[in-house]
Amino acid sequence: MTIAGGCRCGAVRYTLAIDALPPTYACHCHQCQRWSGSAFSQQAIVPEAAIAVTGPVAVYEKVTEDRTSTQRVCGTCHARIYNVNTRRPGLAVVRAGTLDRSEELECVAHIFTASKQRWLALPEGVPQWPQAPPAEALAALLGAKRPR
Amino acid sequence: MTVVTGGCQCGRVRYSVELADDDAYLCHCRMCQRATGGVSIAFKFVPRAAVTWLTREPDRYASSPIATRGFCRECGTPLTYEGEGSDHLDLTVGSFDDTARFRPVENVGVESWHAGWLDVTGLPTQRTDQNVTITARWMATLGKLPD
Repeated sequence: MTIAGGCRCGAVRYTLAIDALPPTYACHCHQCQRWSGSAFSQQAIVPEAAIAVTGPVAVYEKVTEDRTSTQRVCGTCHARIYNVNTRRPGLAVVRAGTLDRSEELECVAHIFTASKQRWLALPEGVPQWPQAPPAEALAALLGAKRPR
Repeated sequence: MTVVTGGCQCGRVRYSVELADDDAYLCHCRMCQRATGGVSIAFKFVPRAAVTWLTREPDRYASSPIATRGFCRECGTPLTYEGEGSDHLDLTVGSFDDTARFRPVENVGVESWHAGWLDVTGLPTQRTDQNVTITARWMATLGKLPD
C-alpha cells in the first residue's frame, strides 16, 4: 500500500512506502508557528527510505550549532513537504497536512503546548507536554499501530 | 506557593498543582506496594483544591472501601491516592515533572515495610549507559538513551 501526498500547486508529488496513514503529532512552539504560518505544525515520522518524491523540489538548510535541518519544499509554490535532521539519521519528518487523505489523520500528541494559541482547545485526553516531551514517550505514541 | 506540573508517562493525564513546601513521604503498606508493584510508594500530600487537571481527570479505581487510586489507563502510571470524603489527596512523587525537588520526611505503613530495601546505597551500581544490551536497544529504536 502506498500513501500519497503533494504540494499546494500540484507540481511536487510523493508517495510513502508504508502500510497505513502514519500517526501524527502537533508542535505548538513558536518556530513551528512561524514555519507553518499557523497555530501548530503537524508531522509524521517515516523512514527516509520510504519517501519517493517527484517534481521541482527545492532545499533549504537550517544550520545550528548542534544540528543541520534540511527542509524540502516545492520549488514552485514553496509548500514544505518534509525535512531530515542530522540528529535523526534515517528518519524523515513529513508535513502531515500535505498527505492526500489528511482528513483521516490522527494526532496522537501535542508538544510545546506552553506556547499554544489561547483559543485552541486540545481534545481531552490526548497526550500533551508544555515543552519537549520525553523522547521515548513520543516515540511510543508514534509507534502505536492503527486501529487499536 | 509554587505551581509545578506533572503527569503520566504517556502525557495523556497532565496536572498542575500549587505547592506550599517540598515535604513528601513514603507509604510501605501492602496496598501501596501492590498498586505500584514496588516496595513502597512516594507521595506528596496536597489539598484537592490545589490540583488542576490540565488534560483530563485521571482514570480511577476504587482500590478499597476507604480510598480511590487515580492512574492513566493507557500507560498505567499511578497518579493519586484519594481518601474517601477527604479534601486532600496524594500525588505520586514520580509523576511530577521535577521529582527531585521533594524530600521524604516520614515513613508510614511501616508494619509491612521491607527493611532490607530501605538503605540500598551499599549495593553495586550500574548506569543505564553501562548496560550494553539496553543501550543497544535504545540506540536502535530511539537513536539515543531515554530522557
